[in-house]
Amino acid sequence: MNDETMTYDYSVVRLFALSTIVLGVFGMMIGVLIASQMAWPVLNFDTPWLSFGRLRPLHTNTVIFGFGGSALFATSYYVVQRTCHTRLFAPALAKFTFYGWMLVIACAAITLPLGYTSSKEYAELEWPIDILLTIVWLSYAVVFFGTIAKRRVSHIYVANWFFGSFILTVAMLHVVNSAALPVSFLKSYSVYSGVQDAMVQWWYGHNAVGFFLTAGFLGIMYYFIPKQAGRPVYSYRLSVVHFWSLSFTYIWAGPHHLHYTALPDWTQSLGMAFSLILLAPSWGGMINGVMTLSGAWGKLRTDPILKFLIVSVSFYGMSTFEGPMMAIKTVNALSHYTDWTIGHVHSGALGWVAMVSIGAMYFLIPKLFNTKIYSEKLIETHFWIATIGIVLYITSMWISGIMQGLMWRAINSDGTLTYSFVESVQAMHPFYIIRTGGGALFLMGMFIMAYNIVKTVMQGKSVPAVIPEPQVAH
Amino acid sequence: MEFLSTEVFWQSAWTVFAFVFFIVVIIWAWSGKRKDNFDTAARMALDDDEALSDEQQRKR
Repeated sequence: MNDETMTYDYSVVRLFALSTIVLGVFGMMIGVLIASQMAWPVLNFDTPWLSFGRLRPLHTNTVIFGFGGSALFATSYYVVQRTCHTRLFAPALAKFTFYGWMLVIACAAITLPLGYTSSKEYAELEWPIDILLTIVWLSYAVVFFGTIAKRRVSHIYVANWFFGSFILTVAMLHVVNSAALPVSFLKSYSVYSGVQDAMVQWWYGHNAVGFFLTAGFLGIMYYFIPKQAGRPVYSYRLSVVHFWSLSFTYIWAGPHHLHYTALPDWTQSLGMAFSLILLAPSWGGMINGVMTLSGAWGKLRTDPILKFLIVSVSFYGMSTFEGPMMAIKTVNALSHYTDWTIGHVHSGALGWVAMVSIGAMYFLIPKLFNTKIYSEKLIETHFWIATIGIVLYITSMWISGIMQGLMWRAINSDGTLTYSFVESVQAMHPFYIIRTGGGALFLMGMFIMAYNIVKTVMQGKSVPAVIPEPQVAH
Repeated sequence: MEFLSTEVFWQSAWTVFAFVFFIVVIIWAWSGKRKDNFDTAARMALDDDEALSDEQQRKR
């Protein structure tokens, strides 16, 4: 055996860990810019490529696929090696997934502001970039499942089940939803039309939430919370039921994005029913994550990384309660097309996805560079700034959203509308300013993190980590 | 006598299959003989720096 086979391959993990921070800062900067444009439209500067419609997809692509995607690549490559006690399969292909993924994000950053879009939400990229993404994703699957296949442990750890389900499902969703007929190099038309197109889009869209932004990050939860808390998974049995029930249920919830549309009524009811059922596996997982801390609650007082992780799971519980509620048709009649949806999404995206990624990165990056974090105190500061930012963001969007919904449906006794549309826009203005403030606080936290990480990396060194030799059979 | 259309048949069959699958997963997860394995598995993240015991190793 040479040195190579006796150590873990962290090189690609390091790259993705650092791109998590860079793209997090970049994506959230665009977020704060477009939030400011909502509050002060003059910030459009009358420039097409600076307008909200073009920058909003760039914001979502950079934070979901750039920031979130990098966090998932980094943690899954790290976790699968360590829980399989083996070196990464096909390391060159793993490197290709990094450069390929960065190329996809770079293409998004160029084409989206220029206005090239397939106009499918969260799948805006045009067909040549979609093909590149497919190749990168299949390589990711080969590396991940190849590593599982050469594992030295007989049991496949639950985090790997979640990562695996995320990789497989996202491959299926992306290929089916992005099927299109190209008419030129950067223009294509979806192969679906009308309500079928809408249903395929939201089958994709909601499962991008369910598998990209949930299953993958649950994989992070099942490794990093036990690790940071120093406690075993609260109930491994529950984690098995959690995995299968979540995977079976999420896939049906998409129609709740199309309530009161041309979609057949039975399909809407099906989506609503499955969204309600989804509360059970979601909360099962949430309870499993939080209860892993039982016996170590005191650590929450002193450990800022654990604060990030546990608060993220709490936000997960909150937004997976809110989601099923908003999927009820009568509630949706009020909430849909209002800012309530934006508030809900960000309680999931900032509260759950970003907080769990940030916690995992604070744990992971010092390990990757064989050092300790530069400043625990700055993590604590980051935690509080981020938490206050999220609370400002989601509460302002709740108030604004419910107010919008109520103003739009208010009717005078003679049947005419009480408010004109522009009156509802005017009423939202103060809440748009508060939302911008909340987002800016969250971004400030990311800058603090970037500083802390740069300092940590500078004081550290990339030392290969040895795979523990198994005991000799007797 | 009316017959079910194949579409309705498969819709129902899938519902029954998914429900039975769920019950089987619960029975599987809670069966007593898996308890020791699961207790070890629950510590896998924690113990990833430690050498694998003979039982944990994958026999090929």
